[in-house]
Amino acid sequence: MTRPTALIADDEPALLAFLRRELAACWPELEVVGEARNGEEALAMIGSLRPAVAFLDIRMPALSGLEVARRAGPACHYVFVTAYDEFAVDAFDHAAIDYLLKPVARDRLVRTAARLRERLALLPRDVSSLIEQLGRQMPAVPQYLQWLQVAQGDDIFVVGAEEVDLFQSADKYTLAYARGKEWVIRKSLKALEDELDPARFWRVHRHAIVRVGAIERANRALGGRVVLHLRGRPQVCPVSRAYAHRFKQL
Amino acid sequence: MFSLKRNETDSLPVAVAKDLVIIVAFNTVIAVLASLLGVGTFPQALRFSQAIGLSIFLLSWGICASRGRIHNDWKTAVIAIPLGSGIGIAIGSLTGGSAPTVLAHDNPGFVLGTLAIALVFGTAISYYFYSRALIAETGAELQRQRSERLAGEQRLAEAQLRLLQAQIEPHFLFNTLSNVLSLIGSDAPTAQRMLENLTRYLRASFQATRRDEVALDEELGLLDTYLGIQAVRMGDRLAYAIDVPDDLRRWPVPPCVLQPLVENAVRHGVEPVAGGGKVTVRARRDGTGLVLEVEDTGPGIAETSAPGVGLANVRERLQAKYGEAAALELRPLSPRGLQVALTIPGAAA
Repeated sequence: MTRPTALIADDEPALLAFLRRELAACWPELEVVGEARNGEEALAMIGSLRPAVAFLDIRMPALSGLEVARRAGPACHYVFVTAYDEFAVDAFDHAAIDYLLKPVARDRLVRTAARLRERLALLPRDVSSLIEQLGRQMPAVPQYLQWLQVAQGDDIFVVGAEEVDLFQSADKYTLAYARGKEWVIRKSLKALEDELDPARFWRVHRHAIVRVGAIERANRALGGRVVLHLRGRPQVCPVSRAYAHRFKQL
Repeated sequence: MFSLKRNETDSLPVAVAKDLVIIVAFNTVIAVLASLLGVGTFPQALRFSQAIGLSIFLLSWGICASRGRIHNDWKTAVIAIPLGSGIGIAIGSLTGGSAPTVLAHDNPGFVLGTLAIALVFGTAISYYFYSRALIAETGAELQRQRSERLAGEQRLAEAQLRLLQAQIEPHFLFNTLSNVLSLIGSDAPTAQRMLENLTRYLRASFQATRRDEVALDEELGLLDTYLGIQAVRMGDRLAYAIDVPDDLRRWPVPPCVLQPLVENAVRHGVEPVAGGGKVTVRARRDGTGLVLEVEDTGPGIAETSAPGVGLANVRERLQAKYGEAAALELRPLSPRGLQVALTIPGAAA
């Protein structure tokens, strides 16, 4: 009978070598046919080398171990290796997916190897749906604009959205007021309004977006118009009638 | 314990009552003095002094209350003292059984003398209450400044604590230990070096929050241990350089101020890139200040990347310590990469 084959993937060379040695010690018949240094390599090798088992580090450059398993589908059995990922560990336990914690302990590897040896006769499970579920349960990465590329004269900087108190449109570009200074952004006010978190940034005027956290107080000026006083900024920011409903409590 | 000193927590009636006791005491003393000086008999002097003193006192309170003040000033006194004196003398003579006008006619010397005493002592006592209030206000102001300073110190302490909590990244710790374990059998000297570096790194991290300043050289040493560990872990995927002239190495900087920036550079600028990359740390003078730069060759910050907690923490600590003179700026590099530049004000060591 041909020897079972395995692929191991880890971006850290010492850990790659370590897992190879440990596998040789507790599962000598297993033949390691490929060692991948990143997710893309791992995916390619699963396709070309067709191993029976793939040991995948979760945190890898290019594609994560989970992504590789999702894309490759039930091409092989999977064992995930992680340094510290309490979320994944809970989910793996729940779904009976094999995993190993780094540093890989000999006794755990022995147990995992024993389990795998039993299952090799069967077809690999399709874990891709489980992994998709995992992905959906993970805390949603905010998709709002968090970082802005801004210019001051000829210099280009990156400024966090949270640092900007006020955006004001001017001709073809927008001015951002942050850290007491004025910066130029190439995005239009409309684009900014679409991309910024609407809970933290409010459009108050055809020409202005304000960061709510920067509002010190809102007053009614003569004529019933609302004006905003922003922290650290002497000039007031007028609120046009179209957007005044936000400040109805006055 | 009850005392006649006005406390901030005294209600209005209590405050008035306390002042009343003081006034009555003063009036009595004045009466004693007056009778000794022969201005009149003691009972007589007492009648007048209490009447005058209390009139001035009540008028002062009334005028203060109507002006919305809690203690007197010269504007109150200039009305209350003469008016109070006049009313007091009138009350004094009426209680003595004679009409004030009659008394003035019969005994002008007494009236004038009493008036003089009233004006002098009235002014003196009014001034006493005025300066007492002034001292209390100054005390309150000092208290407020002290508590503001304490709040500022507390914020700084909290920022430093958060720094420590964010300090030891679990992935880093467990990955490093994994590497040490895996190298013990195959490459013991490297395993040993890594363990030494890790120990040094952890010790420096724990000490960091207890100190206000370290020499730049010490901070660079910390970076060296961290980058040394990462270089072994990542093999040839990480290259790094620390480019700082000797004469700048004694410059005082806050502890662990570059560490979060270098961590970001490795984690976001080198690790996720398949081919790896390079991290460079530089220092140079800028006028009277020091500029520290951490550069990586990575993909820069994506627009939707999570806001950087490490960066915000460094900025907070810099502002708490140096105010507006310190700066933290991010610049995209071309063709690729990111530069984080710190400006620390002040004179070199």
